[in-house]
Amino acid sequence: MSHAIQTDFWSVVGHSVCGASHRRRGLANQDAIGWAGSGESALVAAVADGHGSASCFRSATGAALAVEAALAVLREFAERSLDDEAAAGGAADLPGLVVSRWREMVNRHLAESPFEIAEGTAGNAHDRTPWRAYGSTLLAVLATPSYMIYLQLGDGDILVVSDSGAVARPWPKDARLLGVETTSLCGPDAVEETRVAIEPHAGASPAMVLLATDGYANSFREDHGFLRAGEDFLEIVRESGMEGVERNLESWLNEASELGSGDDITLAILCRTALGARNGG
Amino acid sequence: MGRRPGGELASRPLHFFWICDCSGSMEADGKIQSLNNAIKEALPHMQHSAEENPNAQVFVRAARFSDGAQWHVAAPTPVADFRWTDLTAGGMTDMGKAIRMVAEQLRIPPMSDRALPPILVLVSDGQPTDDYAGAVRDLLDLPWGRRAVRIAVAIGADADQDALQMFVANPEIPVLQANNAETLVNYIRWASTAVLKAASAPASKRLGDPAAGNVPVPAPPASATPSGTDVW
Repeated sequence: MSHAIQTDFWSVVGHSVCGASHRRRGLANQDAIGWAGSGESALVAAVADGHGSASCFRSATGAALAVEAALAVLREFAERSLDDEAAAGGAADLPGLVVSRWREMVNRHLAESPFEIAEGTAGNAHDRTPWRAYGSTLLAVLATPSYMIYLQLGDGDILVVSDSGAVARPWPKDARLLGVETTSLCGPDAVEETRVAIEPHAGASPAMVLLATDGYANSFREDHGFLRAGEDFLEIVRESGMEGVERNLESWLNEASELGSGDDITLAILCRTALGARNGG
Repeated sequence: MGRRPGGELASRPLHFFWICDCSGSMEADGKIQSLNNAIKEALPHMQHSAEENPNAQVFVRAARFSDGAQWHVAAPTPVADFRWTDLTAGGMTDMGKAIRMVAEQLRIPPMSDRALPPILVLVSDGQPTDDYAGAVRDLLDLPWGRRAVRIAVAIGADADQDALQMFVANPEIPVLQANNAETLVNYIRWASTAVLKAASAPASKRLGDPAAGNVPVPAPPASATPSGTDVW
């Protein structure tokens, strides 16, 4: 999926590739990505990383449902929160809304497709906590002309790039998420563990926002090499528009997985429409 | 294809530590030489396992303990370049000092937060003679110490099973009991191939998941020889 869409104010492009290590072992891509317009000016985008462990045997579906839930909840939020003041009043409710929407979707999926023995259900454990089989992370953004909402549960990265090319994260990295451990939609504390931030533009909106599953950052030798990707993507969009990114994104992500982490990599890139249109977009 | 965005790409480091008992009792009945032979025998298999996953860069180190603890191979050595020089035995069993020495290397830095879970393999035939319990507690307090894959091999009937289980700290991973050279070879090879493979491409796990262990460790080989062949 790399087809770009744009609203009056924001454009988005993205792609998800199956990890090099997963391809060697015959495993499917367990990441998911999606985006949608909201009205004429706002965009929502989300990426998710299904855990892929034996106990999370439906995590690819869990990731797809995570993206679907986030897009739905954030679009509804955008429709009723037309300015940053209205948004600020409701942003704190978003984790609960997204998690409960995801659980509803999982329950519906489970009702339509009950666990089968062949899936390796571990005794009765999944009967008590069926969400566990669908475990996934989630990163999402709502971009409007007047404010941004960032939302994250679990590992992965949100990078915010300014017009000057400065790259920052909306919050510090969670030091607990080391090695293979991550907070998750399938956890009992998913709502409390979800981080959400609203940033009114107050003069200048970000030039670009990147949402990436952890396979991307883990492919760079150093964190500053990963952060530089934000700066470089901005430069590419300025030089050749979003088409310049769209043309090459799949190849770049495959190269990153092959020479780096070997993990699935999913990247969504939002940028101000005017920025991409300046020279070629 | 245009210029790829971002800095240098790199596979994820995976640090593997041998932690070997070189106390005087390891001299008896050829135990130290059996350990040397087992590690040398396993090394080509370990190198082959590592080659199968180019997305993990395996570095190997070795620590020894007897009267105190020292590095046998101090530098994180790419597994393809790793060579084994025979250990010799003599002295006490300062296992705790070795654990502390390895733990220092698991701090961030020098460890990277993008590393794969490290693997620690502790091999001993005796009982610790220093503050072992405190060293294990400190190891398990470290983020990478707690998340490491910890394997323990007990050589012979006099090995302190409780101490080794304290190090493993995972009810799903038993202490491996080797009472003869052939079984020791099997366990050393398993740790350096099957465990290495599992740790080099692990799936994500929910923080706080009660399922024990950071990496699902494959079942160890059954003791291949009848008990009548036990020599230790």
